[in-house]
Amino acid sequence: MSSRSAAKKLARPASKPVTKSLPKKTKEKLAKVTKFPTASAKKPLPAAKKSSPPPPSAGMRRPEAPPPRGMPALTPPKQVQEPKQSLARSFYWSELRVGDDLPPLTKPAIDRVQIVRYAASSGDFNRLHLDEPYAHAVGFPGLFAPGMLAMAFVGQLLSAWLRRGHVRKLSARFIKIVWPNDELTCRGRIAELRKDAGACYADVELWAENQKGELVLRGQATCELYESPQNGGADSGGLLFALQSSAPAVPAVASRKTPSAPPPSKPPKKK
Amino acid sequence: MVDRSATGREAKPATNEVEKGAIRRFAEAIGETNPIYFEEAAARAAGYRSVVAPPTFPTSLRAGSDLREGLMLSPGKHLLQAEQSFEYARPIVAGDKLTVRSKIAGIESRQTPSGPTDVVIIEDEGRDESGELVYRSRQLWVVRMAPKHAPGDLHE
Repeated sequence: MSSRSAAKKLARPASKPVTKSLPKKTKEKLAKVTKFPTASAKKPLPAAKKSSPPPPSAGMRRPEAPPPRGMPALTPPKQVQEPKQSLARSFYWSELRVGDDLPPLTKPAIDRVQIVRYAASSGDFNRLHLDEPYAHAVGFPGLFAPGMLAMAFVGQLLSAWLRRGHVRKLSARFIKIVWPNDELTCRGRIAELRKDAGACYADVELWAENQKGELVLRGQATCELYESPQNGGADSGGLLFALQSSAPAVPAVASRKTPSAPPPSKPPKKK
Repeated sequence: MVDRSATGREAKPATNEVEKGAIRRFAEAIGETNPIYFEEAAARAAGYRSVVAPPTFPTSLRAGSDLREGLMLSPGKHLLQAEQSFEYARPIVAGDKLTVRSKIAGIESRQTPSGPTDVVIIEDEGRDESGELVYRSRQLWVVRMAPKHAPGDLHE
């Protein structure tokens, strides 16, 4: 733990020009600056919603802060300005910290056309999601989105954040029905960082809220990441994992042992 | 009550060829914009063999039949998906030919504040042409009456 955080401090200025304490307004720029190929070129990640709490030090601009007059800037501005809940845009494992928030993703309001398109592309034609009179007839206020659509949004949040990493597990529990016109915001937080057999993993808690702030989905993911730019990352041009000819078998399905408990035991911190 | 004897029932395996167009349509439907789901060049630059599938894409891969259809629910009851989990042994990319198997792994009763409810657990797996496991999927479906009290709540 301590060696990692020490390494992180050392590595941060060189390997990560993008600091975590930048105000959110600069996020769109950052997505381009990083030049990561999987970063969305057409549309940057939507800016965080107002509902997203600003980092404690959102007002402090570390990079722009002028050095104190008449004093040589011997040390970089204090690390204490680093927000506690920083937005983890790094994609190297060694730069991540437990408790880091993933950049939230607010999706446009779901409409019926999106529900139909999702049904068509996923091949699930459950009438409750497509047939308004039928949904009425069986007692629902109307048709509603499949939970899998909200899970796909969470998957988008995860893969946009992961970039060169790789999702090994993704699970979700659908808590509340998602209706047409609902506007979902997906969020994530690093719950655990661990190494196993030489591979680096981040366990991430995920959740999605509707426009009323109600939890509609709770999920978890296990991601495999490069440890650092020096260790398998950089421009080697391939996912370590994808290139292994004998990819390790999927670990035993944990959920088989506890079929009723894929969701995290503690609810995500209420925002 | 769902017929417990359906537990263990398996669908006929079916081979699904993962097509670029299918990935693109899925990605468009969920509002994805990441070029690795749309453009071969972007996917290759990111280290993939071809256009890559979004994490929840395996939901569109199917075995030879839909096991939910044989459950014979009583009138007025529906299956609603309440949980989903995926495990991936490697990324799924366009051109993969995955043989998908599906089985009813369990039918259980769960206590909820509104009374006992049946849940159906369906497990899928996809293997590539060499027989290597590529993904596993586990879905939990709740048997649900039409809502009377709390139409928005999937659980409890």
